[in-house]
Amino acid sequence: MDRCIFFDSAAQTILLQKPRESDVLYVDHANWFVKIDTKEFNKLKAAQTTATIVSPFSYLFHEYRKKAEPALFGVVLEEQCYFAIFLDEKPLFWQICDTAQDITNGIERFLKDFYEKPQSFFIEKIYLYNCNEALQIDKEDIQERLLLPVEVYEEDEDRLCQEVALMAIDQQAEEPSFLKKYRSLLLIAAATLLVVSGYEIYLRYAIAQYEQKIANLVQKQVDVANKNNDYQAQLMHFQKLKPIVEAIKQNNALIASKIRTIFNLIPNDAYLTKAEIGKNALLFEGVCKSKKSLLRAFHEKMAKSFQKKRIRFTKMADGYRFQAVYEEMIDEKS
Amino acid sequence: MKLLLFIISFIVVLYSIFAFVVMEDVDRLQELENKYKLQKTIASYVQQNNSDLQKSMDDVQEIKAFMDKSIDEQKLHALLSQHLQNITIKKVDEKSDKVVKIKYYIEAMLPSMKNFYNFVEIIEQKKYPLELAYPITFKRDNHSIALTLFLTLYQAKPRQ
Repeated sequence: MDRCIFFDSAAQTILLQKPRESDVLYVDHANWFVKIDTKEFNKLKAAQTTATIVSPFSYLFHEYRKKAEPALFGVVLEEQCYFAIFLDEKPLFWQICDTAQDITNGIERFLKDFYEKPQSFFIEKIYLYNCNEALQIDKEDIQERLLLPVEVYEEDEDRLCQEVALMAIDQQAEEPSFLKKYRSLLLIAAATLLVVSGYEIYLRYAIAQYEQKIANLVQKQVDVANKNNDYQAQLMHFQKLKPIVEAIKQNNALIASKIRTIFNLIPNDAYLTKAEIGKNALLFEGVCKSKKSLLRAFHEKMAKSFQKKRIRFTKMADGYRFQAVYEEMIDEKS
Repeated sequence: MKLLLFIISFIVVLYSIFAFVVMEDVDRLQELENKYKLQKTIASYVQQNNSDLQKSMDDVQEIKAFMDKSIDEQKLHALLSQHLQNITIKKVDEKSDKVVKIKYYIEAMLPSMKNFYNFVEIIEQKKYPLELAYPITFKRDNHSIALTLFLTLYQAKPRQ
């Protein structure tokens, strides 16, 4: 059987109503309750892990029920002594005093305080249970001073306690959980993590955006650069062809202008039957009415531009047939 | 004790997140921002180069117009028919250097010299890659003029 000990501490009190707080440790006696300090209880429980722990008031109530008389019940433990008066299955008055003080004085003060209560009644007997081996209770002295019969029982704490082991403070008190105790701190930590997470999400999003932008930009650059290369190639190609095109334009214009100019030199009283235009040699055949007019209007002007020139006329019935040849064009620059 | 452990753990976790995750991403973002700025500068340069090249392309449009015209013997005949009559075309030579040069000998009839001038004018106006070449002969034949001449057709070589 496990050892049984009393919860020897002033950190307990009697309540006539059930405590409202949910996290409070208490012993339920149906009509009344012993409220136990959780911290103190846990300390004791930590030191006495296997022991059954009972409130001394639970034992006093047990004795009250056994004796069933208007008496003062007290139990003396190592640290404290506990006094209680019960009426109608409920504690009417109770006190805890230090064992180091004089027990008789403690009882006297208790009774004095009790009699001052409006609902007090006459106490007929005192029952004292002494579990403190180091303390001797002077029964005679108490009887003489208080004029009341006193029963003193020198008892073993374990034995007494076992009698009311069923009323053990068996519920392991729990300190408010860490979550509850540091709720605000945890909230700040959670908020910090949330902010950091939010910032991280923003960073990831911004990185993805930039990567996409850069990829688009690079693609666009490649496209434009390819176009540029194409333009460069075309430009180089066309630059090579430029002299050819210029030469074509110039040559065509020159030939057309040359032909037009020569043909315009033919006077109105003459016409050409053949014109052969070479690069350096020209041959004209035709008919004219007046030698003089053809020579002045056509031959003399043509002759200025050529080193070799000759014109030959053949008499016809109505005018002359002519043949003019011009060779080796004079370079105007020279 | 629990509280102290919690605070130390929290600081360690927070530091780890910052050191190994957040700061790396901050550095990466900074790096990407710089890269983006650089790419924008390059893109702007490439775009500017593109604009300049387009302007230069405008300058060679005339050459392009000349060389982009693909003309074969059939097309040449159709072109000559607009101004000349009874046309005979003979290919006499073909050379390929920077461009392909095809030389034709043309025989045709002209209603008047005006048709010849119009023909030369259209070649110039429409930028046909055709060059008149000597010798050119005009011979009276009843009411028409018999024309013989050489025409050189220039064609761009297919681009590599």
